[in-house]
Amino acid sequence: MVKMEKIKLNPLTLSFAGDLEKTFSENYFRRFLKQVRFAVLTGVFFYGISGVFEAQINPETRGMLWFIRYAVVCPFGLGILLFSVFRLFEGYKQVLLVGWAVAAGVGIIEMNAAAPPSMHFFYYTSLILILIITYTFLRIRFIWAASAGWFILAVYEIVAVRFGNIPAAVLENSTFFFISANVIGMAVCYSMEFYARKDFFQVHLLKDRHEKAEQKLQTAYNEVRETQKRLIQSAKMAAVGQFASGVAHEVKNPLSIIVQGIDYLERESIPANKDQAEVLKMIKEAVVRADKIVRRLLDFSSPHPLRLVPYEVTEVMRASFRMMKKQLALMKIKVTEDFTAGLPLIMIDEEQMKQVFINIILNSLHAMPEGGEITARIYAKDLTEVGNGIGRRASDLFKVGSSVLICEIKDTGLGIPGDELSKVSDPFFTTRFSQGGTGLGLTITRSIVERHGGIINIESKEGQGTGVTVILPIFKEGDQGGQQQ
Amino acid sequence: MGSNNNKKKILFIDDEVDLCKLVKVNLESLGEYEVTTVSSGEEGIKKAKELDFDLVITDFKMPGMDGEAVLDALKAMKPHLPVVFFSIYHDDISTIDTSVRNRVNGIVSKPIDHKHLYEVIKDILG
Ligand SMILES: Nc1ncnc2c1ncn2[C@@H]1O[C@H](COP(=O)(O)OP(=O)(O)O)[C@@H](O)[C@H]1O
Ligand SMILES: [Mg+2]
Repeated sequence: MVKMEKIKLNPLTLSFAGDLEKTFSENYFRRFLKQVRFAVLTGVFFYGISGVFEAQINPETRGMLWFIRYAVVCPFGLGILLFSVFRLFEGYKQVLLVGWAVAAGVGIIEMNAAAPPSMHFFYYTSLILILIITYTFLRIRFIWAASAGWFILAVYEIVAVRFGNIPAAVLENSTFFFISANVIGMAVCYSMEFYARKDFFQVHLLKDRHEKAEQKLQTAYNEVRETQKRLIQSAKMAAVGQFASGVAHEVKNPLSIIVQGIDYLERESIPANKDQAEVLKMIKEAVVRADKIVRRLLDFSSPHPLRLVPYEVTEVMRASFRMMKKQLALMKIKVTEDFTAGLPLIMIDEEQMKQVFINIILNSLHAMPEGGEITARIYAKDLTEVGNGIGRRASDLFKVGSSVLICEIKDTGLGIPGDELSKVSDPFFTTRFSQGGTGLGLTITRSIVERHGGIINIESKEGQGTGVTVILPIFKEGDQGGQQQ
Repeated sequence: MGSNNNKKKILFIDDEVDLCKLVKVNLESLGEYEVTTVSSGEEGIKKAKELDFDLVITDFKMPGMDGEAVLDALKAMKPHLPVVFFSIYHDDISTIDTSVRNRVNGIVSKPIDHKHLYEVIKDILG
């Protein structure tokens, strides 16, 4: 059993420290709302009924007594009942109930003062009953209930002394019992509230612990899933890589024969016939296209080893945009570059990193046939939060606390539908097959980034745009590095 | 065809027989070259021993002796004989060792069309 946190209460007011008090109050209010209503109803009932007995014993003062009972105290109680259906009641509950209890008590005291001494026992008992209800049934908070109890007693004493219609011995006697009732009432009230708070506190603790455990479980689950996804991805890549290089080898030779064959035909037999020359040209173009796919397959199945040198990533990004300048202008795409100055050099293969950026920019370009905007940002960041591939475990690429360079390229293009987002870097996944897409752009891009020890994240909203984030490690001096070839 | 002394002699080695045939016809149609084709590295070495060539073009990846082995054997025999690799990779930085790359006179990637092949050959043979 885990050690329970100790309950911290103000010993007098019984309040919790901090936010917990608010939660408790809400909870306590809801829990006893029905009981409070029932208590008020019961109080109104008996306060009303006792007026009948009173009238039999003491018919002379009936008018004034009934006024107190039926025009003040009972309507007050019924008013509280009515008001209790509103949300606002929660805030005024204590004040109203205490006010009502005091009104009932003072009412009794007033009636007592007006009645002959022989009636004293009647009111005295009523007052005791009111104290009982105040301390227990109404679920008034200890501090309020005690205040009400002693206030009523004080009023009783003052009135008794002022009017002097109660014999001294009786007054002494009843004062003794009122004090006793107050003391016992306080003890009961205190213990009721204390245990209610203790129960609440323990439930709250358990709930809290449960939530924390659940949260931990969720984090662990996410991590496992993330790792699994990465494993599947790399297994997929490896399988495709082998397959691809096999296919590429087998296809390159036939393609060579076709190309040389076309050259032969072009020269020897067909040049005069325009249609046939046209067909040959088409075949040749088809070969070029097939060759392009095979080339990319090979790129990806036998990646070039990284030639890492300390380099400025911003420069690579700038160069990539420069290379695409004409196309971007032609497509009416505005480029905004926002690069932090003076970023540290990091170990990269400039050529391959350029390929990364160009692939991403090309995709953005394709996604904005009507023009649009590309925003590129590069900045450094100290990782403080656990996230996608970022964490504290050995399996995480980046440890919390390490520094990285973040390269973002955002476009305002078509975006990627939710169900496709997880597939875009899968080998051969393309939505642009008819426009010559190979579906290997992001596959290669991811592979290069990962071989640099980085990660790539893609976020997108269909119809709004896509943001690709490349996170690259900044290796500090003395670092072993974490780059895989 | 016979041996015409004005024509440069090229040895073409590739295990793809049809490709050999087509390259031979295409190159010879230019009238500047005489092309001998063989379909394995071993045969290529044998031919190179028997005859004098101005240039050897060899496939890089073949069953039996591969391009690199052919290169080693040829260079041992005739250090000044230019050799060109015919490879399936369009960029051979990754697949062919620098040490090997430095010893060949060129690397062309499959599929290469007639025009480009001719340019490469002309570059070397003048
Ligand atoms: N910036 C982008 N905006 C919208 N869709 C994109 C973007 N980048 C990638 N995609 C989607 O991902 C697919 C795969 O991209 P990629 O791997 O580069 O292959 P390709 O460009 O050849 O289709 C694209 O066909 C496209 O549907
Ligand atoms: Mg692409």
